Amino acid sequence: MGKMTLKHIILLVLTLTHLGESAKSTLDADGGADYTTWDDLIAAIKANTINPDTILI
Amino acid sequence: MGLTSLYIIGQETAPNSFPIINRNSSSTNWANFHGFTNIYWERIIFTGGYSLGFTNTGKTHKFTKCVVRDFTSAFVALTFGSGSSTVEFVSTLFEGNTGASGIFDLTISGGSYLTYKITNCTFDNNTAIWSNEGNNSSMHSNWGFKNNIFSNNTTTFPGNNLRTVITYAHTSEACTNYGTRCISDTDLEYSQGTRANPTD
Repeated sequence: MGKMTLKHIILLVLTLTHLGESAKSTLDADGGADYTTWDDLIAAIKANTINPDTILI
Repeated sequence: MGLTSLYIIGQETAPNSFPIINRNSSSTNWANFHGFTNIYWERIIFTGGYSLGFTNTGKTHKFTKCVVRDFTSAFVALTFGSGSSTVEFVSTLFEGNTGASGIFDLTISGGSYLTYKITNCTFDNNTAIWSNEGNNSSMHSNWGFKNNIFSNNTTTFPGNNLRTVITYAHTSEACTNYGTRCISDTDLEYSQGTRANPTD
């Protein structure tokens, strides 16, 4: 196995960071979030338009 | 939904500022929503006039540090057969709910596999908590209601089978037929005599 260069290390860190990233959706009735109504958010999940593992309200 | 778990989390940490979900319509998007995946709710206030429906799909539905208040219907309708779903409430306040069929409208028949747990919760000033006891006392083997407070509810239990599942509770009714280590206290006190906020 060849020696890891700085470039390899950076690519490895970026890959691991991406794998650990969770899929978040946000909800706020006052705006400023991905969705403003709970019903729209659920409909998007049911339609498989989004596939979050976390919803922040 | 392809994921195995969904976390729905309020970003406010002060209970009086938790985000409020008002279930004010019978939107079909809610129907069977909980059947898709395991869902974990945290730091949310629920209110409204339409129930969340849980059917038997073998999923986990857990509520932690939530508030359920002023519902005019049942909060959740549990419709289960002989499946292996889990419904759990932890450190949740149930206050001022007036649904005639209780906070939990149970339509449970047969089976003993539903895990139903309520821990460290407070039930104060509700019209009723459970619509009935389930249709089969053997199902209670997987039910556990521990370390909860029951105060000022018009009806706490619909019958004695559920009382036997209650352990380590404080209750404003007599402890007759309760489970182990329950304490009766007819003068349970809160920080405010009239309670408008979760921290009262």
